[in-house]
Amino acid sequence: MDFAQNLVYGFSVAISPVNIFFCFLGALLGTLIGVLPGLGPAAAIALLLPVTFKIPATASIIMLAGILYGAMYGGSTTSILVNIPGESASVVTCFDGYQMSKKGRAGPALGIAAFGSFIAGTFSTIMIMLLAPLLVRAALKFGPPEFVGLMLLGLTMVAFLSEESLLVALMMTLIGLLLGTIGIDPVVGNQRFTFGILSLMTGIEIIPLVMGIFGISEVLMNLEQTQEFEIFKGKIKGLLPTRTDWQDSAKPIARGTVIGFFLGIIPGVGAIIPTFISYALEKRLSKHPDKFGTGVIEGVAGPESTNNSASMGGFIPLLTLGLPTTGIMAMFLGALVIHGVQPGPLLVKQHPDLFWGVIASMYIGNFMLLILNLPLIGIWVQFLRIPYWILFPSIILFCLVGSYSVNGNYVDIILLMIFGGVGYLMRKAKFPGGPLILGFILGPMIEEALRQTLILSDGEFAIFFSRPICLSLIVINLLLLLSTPIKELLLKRIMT
Amino acid sequence: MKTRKLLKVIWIVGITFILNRVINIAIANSAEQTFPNRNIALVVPFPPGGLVDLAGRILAEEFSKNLGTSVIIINKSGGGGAVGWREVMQSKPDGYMLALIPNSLILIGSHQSPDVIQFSDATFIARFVSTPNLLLVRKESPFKTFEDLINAAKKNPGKLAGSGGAVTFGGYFTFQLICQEAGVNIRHVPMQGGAPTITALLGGHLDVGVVATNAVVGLLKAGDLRALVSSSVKLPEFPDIPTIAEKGYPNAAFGLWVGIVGPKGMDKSVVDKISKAFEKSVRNPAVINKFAETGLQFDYLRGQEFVKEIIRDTAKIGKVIEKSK
Repeated sequence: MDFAQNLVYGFSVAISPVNIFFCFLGALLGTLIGVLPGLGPAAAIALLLPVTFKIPATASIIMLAGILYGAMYGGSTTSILVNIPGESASVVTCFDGYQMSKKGRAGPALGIAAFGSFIAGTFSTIMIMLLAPLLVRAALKFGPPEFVGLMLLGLTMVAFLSEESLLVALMMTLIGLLLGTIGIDPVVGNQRFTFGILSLMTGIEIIPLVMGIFGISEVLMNLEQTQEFEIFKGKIKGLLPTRTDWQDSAKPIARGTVIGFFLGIIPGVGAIIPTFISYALEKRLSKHPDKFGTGVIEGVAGPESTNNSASMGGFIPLLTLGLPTTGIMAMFLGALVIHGVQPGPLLVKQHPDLFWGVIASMYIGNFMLLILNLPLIGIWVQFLRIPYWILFPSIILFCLVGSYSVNGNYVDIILLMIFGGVGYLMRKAKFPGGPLILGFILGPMIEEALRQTLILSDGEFAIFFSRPICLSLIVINLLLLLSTPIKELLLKRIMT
Repeated sequence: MKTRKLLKVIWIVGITFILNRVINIAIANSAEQTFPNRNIALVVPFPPGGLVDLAGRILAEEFSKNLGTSVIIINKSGGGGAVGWREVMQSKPDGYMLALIPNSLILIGSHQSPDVIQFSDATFIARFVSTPNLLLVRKESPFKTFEDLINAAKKNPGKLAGSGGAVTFGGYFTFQLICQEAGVNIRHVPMQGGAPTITALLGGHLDVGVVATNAVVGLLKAGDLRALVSSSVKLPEFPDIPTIAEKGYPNAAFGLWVGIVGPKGMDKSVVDKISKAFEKSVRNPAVINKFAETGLQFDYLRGQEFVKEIIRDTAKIGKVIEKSK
């Protein structure tokens, strides 16, 4: 095929000084936005949208794409350093990343996140080039029943997210599912559990929830300890991943990249769920699953690669079908149509400079980010030396600003405070936050897909077993659920 | 030592308070002189990137120039637009806080949350763009024309499945209006907006979908989707798509539009000033072109005319809601 030719053409567009400049600008801005908790790429892209009206279409998409994957790079930084997800797809990175920091291994955690993101980004770029139109056709096979199967698989992951007790994890998932029911009923449009509060009509925003449960509660926990003055007191051990780190991370990165990319293509999945799946998978495959949550590098490497490749995968439905699968992609769509470029099946033919140029720029941008991020690690790690009396108020301030910036609505700040308090109590009782977030994200998706399916099938549950993709997802799910008890049973037999 | 610190605090608080008063009075005085003497907030009650947001960002620059002050787009989302609506309607009616709203928000809102969204709370300045919804099938569909679909639906009542989004979307009402007027029963599968509807349509999970024009231009041109009918006007870009009125159902006509509103009780001179500057801005050919590129057609109605249009649309929506109860 003329793949090489397209690649060369793409690079010739991407390395023009203007495009290189905007690529760098986007990557840099994205990193900064990713690092600032709460300020996600969505807010930044919205702010820059009017600016893009004035620059050429290709350059503006290159810049906006840079912001998106830059934020995926930067998002891990605050997760690892201060246990606040820099953006919502970095929630999972908190689990082990922050623990690594506490052990003085923030450098390797940041390093592996950067390398993992680079590898995932590069892989996804190549995949977009090779297979974009083909893949999207396959992704369209995911209708409501298949979504139910996929989301059930997501719920099964709870079993692997539980650190102490499975019962507690299931309980937290249920609470998450309940929180997810708040808002307008997706079928009949009635309000549920809104108590007449207008801002709850479209449900609870994920950012205040996540930042409250993880960020604010972390600050509150630390306030209890009067002795320590910095997150980590001892010597910081090395800035880059060691050879053992690499050996531990290689496979998680590879798996995370592939999972993220393929799940990211499916319209509606987004970047958060794949990170949970990656984490759970690594824990399942690990030889020491009990150590997950105490600061193992696999728990950072997998999910961090996943969120990058998933967010890149999200470009495929947009570029090949003109379908914005997330709010961020909707803004890309906006930026494109403002320039008279209609994304869709004809995009590659009508605007080859844009299509190939943007894709080549992603490759360049990922490389820039690696170069940009590695020297920064040394600086970020110094943040751990900031005394608490500066760090804590700043964390709270960023959480407040971040929550407010989602909707420009003060109710989100109140929610942040409430969830901060709840998160604190959860920590005191050793209730894990991860399952709650997972339940919260999956709940509305399962409900919607399930009800859609049943409307399509006229109430027949047989539809789940008559569709091959859905059936195989359910079978995989059952195998996963049963594998542990069966293994234990077999072991017992052998022992006795 | 302690008293000195306390004095210092009192002193700072006092100074801040006095300064604050002085500045407030100064602002209040100057506000009475000429209308735009500070920035105007143009609230978009949705997250950035949507149709209404884009329309706002396109016109903001020209609008600022014609008003002689900066018009700043502010996204206040939540509650399906109701949060932003309430904030603007409860603001001081001095012309410094305006909102861009689509018909879906006010029409559906007035039925769903009548305690929040009331027409009497607002000053309707102008409607400026509109776009029809399209009734779509995918390339492989056996339905070549609107009649094919209606006949098939009549033969198999309740067997076909379609979607116009969820009950909070304009597409849902287009879908139901067409079904009602044509007397057919097509199962409605709720989807959260245009993109999921298109996805399900392309994947063959739905037989028919109703989506705003701007979302499907690329797919129509590529031939992946086929439009059977336009819910309101003819599209210059696609003259082959018949309108619903041409198919014999003028009462089912219902499109999507965006307008600019302010709180009630605004000074007439202020409204006139805004209205004039706004009309000049949206009539600018460059702005109209940009609207067209995003799939929005320039479609201007001022003041009373605008209100009449809202009343007409509300009656239509009311019929659908009554029937579905």
